[in-house]
Amino acid sequence: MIRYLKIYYSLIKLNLAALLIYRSNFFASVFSNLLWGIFSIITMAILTSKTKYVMHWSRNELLLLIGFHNVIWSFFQIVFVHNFYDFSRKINKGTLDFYLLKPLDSQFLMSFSRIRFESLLRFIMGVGYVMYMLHVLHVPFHVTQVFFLIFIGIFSVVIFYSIWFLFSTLTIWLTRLSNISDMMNTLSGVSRYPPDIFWEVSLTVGVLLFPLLLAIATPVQILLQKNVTNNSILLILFSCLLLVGTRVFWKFALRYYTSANS
Amino acid sequence: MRYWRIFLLHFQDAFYNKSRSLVWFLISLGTGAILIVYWFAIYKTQGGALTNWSLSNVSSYYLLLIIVSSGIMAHHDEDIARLDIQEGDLVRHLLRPFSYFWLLYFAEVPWRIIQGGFGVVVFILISFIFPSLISVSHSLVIILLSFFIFFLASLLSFIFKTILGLSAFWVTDFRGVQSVFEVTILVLGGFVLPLEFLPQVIKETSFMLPFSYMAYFPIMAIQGKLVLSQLMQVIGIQLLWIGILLVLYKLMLRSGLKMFTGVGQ
Repeated sequence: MIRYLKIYYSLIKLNLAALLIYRSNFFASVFSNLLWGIFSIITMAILTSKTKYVMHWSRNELLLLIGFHNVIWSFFQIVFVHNFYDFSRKINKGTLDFYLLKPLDSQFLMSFSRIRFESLLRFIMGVGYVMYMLHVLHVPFHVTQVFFLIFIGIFSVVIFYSIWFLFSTLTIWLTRLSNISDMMNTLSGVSRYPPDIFWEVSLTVGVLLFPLLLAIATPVQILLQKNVTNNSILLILFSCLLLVGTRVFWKFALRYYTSANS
Repeated sequence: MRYWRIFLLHFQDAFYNKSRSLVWFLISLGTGAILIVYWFAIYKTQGGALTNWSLSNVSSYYLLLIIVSSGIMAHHDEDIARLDIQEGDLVRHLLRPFSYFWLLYFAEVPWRIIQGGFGVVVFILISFIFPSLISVSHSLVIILLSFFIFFLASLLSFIFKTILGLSAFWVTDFRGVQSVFEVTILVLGGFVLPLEFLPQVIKETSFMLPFSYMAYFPIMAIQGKLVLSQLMQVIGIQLLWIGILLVLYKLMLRSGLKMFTGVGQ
C-alpha cells in the first residue's frame, strides 16, 4: 500500500511536470472545464425557472444537488477521467502490454496514470458554490459533517469509477467503441437529477440506474439533514460490490486481451 | 459525379463504423430521454400544462431534438482544428483538385445520415408505442416546408462548425473556443429547453443569432407551431445566415491559409 502511494506521488509530480510544459493548453482546458461547470448550474437554474418544486425537491435543493455533483464530478475528472479516455487507445494500440509487463498492478496503472489538474478550479468553485447554497438554504453546517461528507463522497466517487471501469473494460472485446467514455459521460449525468423522477417513470429504469442515482443524491440529502440511513448503507454496499466487480471483471477480461504488438 | 463518389466512399467508411455511430446516437438519445423524464416529473408536480405547452408538446420537442442532435448538428469542427490545421493534414486537401468545403461536406453527411436514421427509427417506434407523447403537424405543406427547413438547418450547422474549426488558424488550443460556442449553442439553440421558456431578453437574443435556426425553429416548424408566413420567414433568415457564414468562411480560409505552415503547430 505504501509502495503504491509513493508511486502515485511520483505520478502526480510527472503529470504536473507535463502540464507545465504546455501551459497555454492547460489554461485553455481550465477555462473550458470551468465553463462546463458554470453551464451545468445555469442549465439547472433554467430548468427550474418554471417550477418551485420537482417531486419533493425544491429549486434551491436542486441547485445544491447540481453544485455537489460538480464537486464530486470534478474530483472524479481530476483523478480518473483522462485514464478512461485513454483506455481504448491503449487497448487498440497494444500499449497495455507495457502496463502488463510492469511489476505493478495493471488496474492501478490503467486507472491512475494520468491526472487532470485542469478540473481543480472547477472543484474549488464547486465547493464554494455548495457552501453558498447551504447558506441560502439556512442549513447549519458542522465540522463533523465535513468529515462524514468526505467519507460518503469517497463512496460516490467509487461508484462512478466502478461503472466507468466496467464499461471501459468492454473495449477489450469491442475495440471499435472508443467513444464509450463519451457515452459514460452522458450516463453519469443522471446523477445530477433527483432520483425520484426516474422511479416515477419505471421501476426497471430506477433499478438499473440505482447506483448512479444514489451517488450524488444521498450525500446531498445528508447535507440537508434528511433521514437517509438506508440510502447511505446502500451507497456504501453498492460501491464496495461494484469495486470488487471491477477487479473480477478486469482479471477476466485480460484473458481475452490480444496485444496489437505481438 | 466525383463528389458523389467521394460521398459514397465516406458513406462506406461511416457504415463500417456504424457501431460508433450508434454510440454517438445513444449519447443524444440519453440526453433527450433524461430531459423528457425530468419534464414528466415537472408536469406531475405541477398537475397540468406549463404555459401553453402540454406534456406531448414537450416530449415530442425533445424527441425531435434527438433527431436534430444526431442528424443535423455537425461535429467536424474538432477534426478541422486538430487534424487539418494543428497536425498539418490540410496540406493534402489543398493539393487535391476538389473544393475543401465540399470535401468536408461529403465526409460529414454520411455520419449525419446514419445517426439521423437511428433517430428517425426511434421516433417512429415511440410514435407507435406511445402515441400520446408525439405532437407533430398533420399538414402536408407544413411537413414539406419543415423538411426544407431541416435541410437548411443542417447546412447552417455545417458551415458554422467549419468556421469554428478554422478558428484554429489563430488559437493554439481550440478547446476554449469550442467550449464557449458549444455552451452558447446549447442554451441559445434550444437544446436545454424550448426558447419560449427562456427570459425575454435571452429569447430575443437567440432569435437574432443563427443557433436557434439550427434546432429550435426546425422543431417548431415540424410541430406545427409556426404558420405559413412564419415558416417562410424562418427559411429567409436561414438563407441569409447561410450567405453571411459562407462569406465569413471564405474570408477566414483565405486569411488563415496565409498563416498556415503545413508542418503542424
